[in-house]
Parts: sequence; C-alpha cells; structure tokens
Amino acid sequence: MDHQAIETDVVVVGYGSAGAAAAITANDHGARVLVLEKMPAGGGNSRLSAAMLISATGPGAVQHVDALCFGKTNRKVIEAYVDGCMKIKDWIREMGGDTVIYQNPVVTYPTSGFPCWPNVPGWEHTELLRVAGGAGDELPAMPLWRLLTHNVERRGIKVMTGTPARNLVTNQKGEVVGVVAEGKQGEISIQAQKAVILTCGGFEYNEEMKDAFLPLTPIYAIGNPGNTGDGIAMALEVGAALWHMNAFHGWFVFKASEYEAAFTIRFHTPGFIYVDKDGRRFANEMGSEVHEVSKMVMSFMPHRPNHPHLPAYAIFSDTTRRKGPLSGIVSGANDYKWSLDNSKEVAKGWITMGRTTGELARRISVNEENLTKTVARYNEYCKMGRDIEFDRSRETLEPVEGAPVYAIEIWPGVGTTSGGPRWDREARVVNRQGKPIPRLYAAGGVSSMWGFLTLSGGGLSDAIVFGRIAGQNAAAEERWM
Amino acid sequence: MFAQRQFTVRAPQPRVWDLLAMVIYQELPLEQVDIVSLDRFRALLKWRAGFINFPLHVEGRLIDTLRPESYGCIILVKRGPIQMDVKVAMRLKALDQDRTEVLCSATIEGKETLMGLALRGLQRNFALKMFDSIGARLEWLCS
Repeated sequence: MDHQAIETDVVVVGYGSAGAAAAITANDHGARVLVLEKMPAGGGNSRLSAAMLISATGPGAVQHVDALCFGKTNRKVIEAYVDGCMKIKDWIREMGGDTVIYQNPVVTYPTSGFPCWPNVPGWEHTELLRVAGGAGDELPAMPLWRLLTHNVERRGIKVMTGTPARNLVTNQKGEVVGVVAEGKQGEISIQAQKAVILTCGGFEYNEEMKDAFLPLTPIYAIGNPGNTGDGIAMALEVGAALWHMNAFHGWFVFKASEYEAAFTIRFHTPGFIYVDKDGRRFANEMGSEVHEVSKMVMSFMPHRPNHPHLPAYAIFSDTTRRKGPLSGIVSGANDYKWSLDNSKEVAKGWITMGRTTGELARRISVNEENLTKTVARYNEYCKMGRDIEFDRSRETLEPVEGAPVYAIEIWPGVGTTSGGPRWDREARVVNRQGKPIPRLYAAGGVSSMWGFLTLSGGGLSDAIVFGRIAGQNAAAEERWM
Repeated sequence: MFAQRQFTVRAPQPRVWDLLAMVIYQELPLEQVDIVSLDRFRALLKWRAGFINFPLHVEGRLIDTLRPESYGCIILVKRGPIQMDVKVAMRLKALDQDRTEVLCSATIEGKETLMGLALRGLQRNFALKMFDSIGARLEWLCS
C-alpha cells in the first residue's frame, strides 16, 4: 500500500450541502480547502431531499425554532441559526442562484410544506424557499446541488471522492491538526494547517448506533447509504460531547427485503387510516408534520398487548390506490420506480389486497373483527364530518370504502438522525467539559441543531447555515505550523 | 375566458386558501398523479362527458400561487388532435374577517385549435361542474 501525504489549510470531511457550503466559505475567506467524500459522488442526503430551505424574515423566528427544540438546543445556537436563515437568500444570490417561494405542486398526505407547525408561535417569521430552476424529471434537489458544485468547481476546490476519512489526528496540545483517510491507492495523511470540519452525515445506516441511541427498533433508513456515523465516531475519539442522540426525522416507510433503503410512504388523497396489529387506529393520521409521523408509534399503552404499535398498516381504498404512487414523493436511495397506480406493488405482494375488510385482515394477520369495526367507524366519522376518536381535521376525512381494500405494512423510517458531536454557535465541536476542541468544527447531518421536532427544510438550512459558519471560522484560525 | 364562478365561503381568507389546494385535488377526477418536479405534475384526468369517458393525460404547472391571495395552475391537455393549455385561476378576497370571496376562472392560453373550439361546450360544463363542487366542498368544510 502506498502512503500519501497532503497538506492544506482546511479539510472538509463529507461533500453534501454542509460540506459544500463550508468549503466555499472557507475558500472565500482565504483558506486552501480539501474536501473528502467516501462515496463515489457527493450530494449525500441533500441530493435526495425535497430541497426546501427555511428563510427567516425576522428575529421573531427564534421563538418558533426554540419551541420546536423543546429546550434541547442552546438558545445562542438557535439565534445563530435564525441569523443565518435571514441571510440564506442573499447567499444563494451571491452564488449566482435565485430563490422562489416553495409550493407543493400537489397536496400529499400526511401534509408537508408551509407552515409546518401553524400552532407553534413564530412561524409567521419564516418562509419556505427553494432554489429556482430545475429541468425535466431531474431530482428536486438538483438546482441547489448544481449551484453548490458549480461554485466549488469554479473556485478550484479539490474534492476527493471515494476517499473516506478514517480518523482525526491531534497534536500534544489536543488540537485537531489533520485527518487520516483511505485513498484509492492507500492511506493518505492530510495535514490541516487551520482546521477540520466534519460534515459527513448521520448514522442512519449504522445498525449498532441506531440500536444504542434511537428509541425504537427497527427504524429503517431511507437516504444516502454512506451515512454510517463515521464523523461521530471520529469526534468521540477526540473527546467530543454528544447531543440529540435519540432524535431523528423521517417518514413512515415500507421495507422491501430486496432493497437496502426503505421506501417512504405518503398518499395523494386522505382516503386512508393507520392501524396497528390489533386492527385499531392509534393516532390522528394527519396530526403531525410529515417528518415527525414516527412519533405516533412511540406511545406506550399498557392495557394493550401490542406495544408499541408496530408493525402498523396503512389501510386504503381503491380510489386512493389509483390516485397516485404511494412512494416517490420524496426521492429515495433505491433505483426503483414505483408504479403510478400501485398495481405493480400489488402484484409483487408489497401491497396486500382484500375483497372485503375482513379478508384483508386475515391476509395481514390483523384482528378481523377489530379492523372491520375500525374501518366502519372511521367511515361513519367521514359522514358526520367529525372524528370523535382522534380529532382528525374535517377536510381530511375521506372514507375508506368500496372494494377491494388494501394494506401496506409501515415502519418508522429515518431520513436523517439528529445526534452527533455537540457544537456551539460558532460551529466549534465542544468536549465533555463544554470547551471547544481546538480546530474542530461540525455542521450538517453529522450533528444537527434540531433537538426534538424539525421543520420541512430545517435540515438543509441547518447544513448550509452552520456549514458557512464553520467555513468562515475555520479559515480564520491561525496556521499551527 | 370560457368559464367563471364566484362564491363566498364563511371562513377567514388564509383558512380558505389552505383548504383550497386540498379541495381542488380531491374534487378533480385525477388518477396516477406523478410529481415530476418542484412545480409540475402529470396525471390522468378521468373526464366524463355524459356517458362518454375521455381519459386525458394532463400536465399541470403551478403559477401565480401566493398564500393567501391566489392559486393557479396551467394544465396542458394532450390526446390525439386535442391539445390545449388551460389556465385555471382562483383569486381570493377577504370580504370581512370571517368571509372570503373566491373567484374561479378557466381560460385557454395560447392558440385555439379547431378541435378545442368544437369541444368548448364540454370544457365549459366540466370547468363549471368542478368550480361548483369545489365551492360546495369548501362551504361544507367551513359550515
């Protein structure tokens, strides 16, 4: 094996939106920058996202974000986030792009978009944006990703793909002064004269870490298969403190055994309900922002034998089946095109069909009497215009009636884990005593500021805002040698 | 403009706007809705005129959509010799705190085709039926 040595000012570990924003900003503040990416191409989860960005229209947004974090994130970090969100439009413009207000082309259920949490004060001080442009059938995130990569390339910033970082290098003073990476021809020692920025994704595909930190098992991953918690492990080795380790954001998903990533499940019409193995509804199906639906299955009901409510099933009508594909609204990591009327997935056995609700219940091994009663009761609520069990909103009460009727097994899915090395408002990773670890920064999915709930667009905005802060501060460090 | 309807809903303007998008997609006889980009979708429109079914492949593109004032869509209809761009626009106006006026209109964009002109009556009936059902649904939801 060859051993290669490289010297630069700032090493950025991970090439998604956070990494690109950090690299561009550090470069623009005078640093020489090298980006390492373990996958064959950059983009990470950003490239698979719906590419929504939060823009704050005033400091009043701090109240909103603070409320969503449930006290899990330092107020100063939140203030820095909101301040960054207030500048996000201008930064996109400086990069040569433009933003437009985000509008969903059609309504999907559970609903997403804006405002995500209309009952949480302060949302009026935010906007939901996307980068303008986009051609043909390309992924929704491409206009943003193209803008970022174009700016990285035109600055001549070197990006080494297929080159995973293995560990951080520290000196006797405890400063992070480099990275050891695994190159295509062997080990590479990279000296970082100013700083290292970790921007390398969460731990969605690390089963051991998910088992240790997330509140349920299984929680299936949806996004970039490169997200195996590498940055978190590296930060722990140099004494980083952790935060938000049990928080994650995602959707309900269907897991096909032949595909590594799970398929997100959403509907084009509200004619569906969720039931558990007992055949009973367990939540207002529309009661949560789409990234937080998994929280519905975490309640514990001691008088019921099925705890928590897993596996759960979405039960839906033939009208709902024909309305549009159950998966594909959010881009997934699998190379699979879901059929527009879901017929292919019925044929594959991913979706189960029954001529009656009773037959469907038998086929999915759910209590037949309960399921039949549940569906009948729900259809009554639709007629009344009032869901007396879970207070589902009137406009979303569409019956599950007619024949045949369908079911798809659903599990919690994780788009991005939130936890990782704790950092401060300057994006400096801190140790267990709360002191910054010299020359180490983090941003993006490796460790998000979102402590409990999130917003549509919250993760991507967090990545860009703190990627920029990390890039600027890393470039401002004095060279250690 | 080939079809227009105006109705009043007993709810504040932002509430009506929020319901509007949901109601439109619930009332339109669309199937196989495919979101192809951040502002476009394709679908199969199950248009029925009398006893005759006309399944039409349509492509929709959001335009002039601004909460809580307007909601608009250009729908490109294509089937054999039938090809037309239909602009559907909804304009909302607060009459007072609890009442909102909704003005719905459908217009052919661009060049008129002979086939389009021949089908104008059917189009008008379809558009008016949709506007009426959207109005009725909004009224029921806000009652």
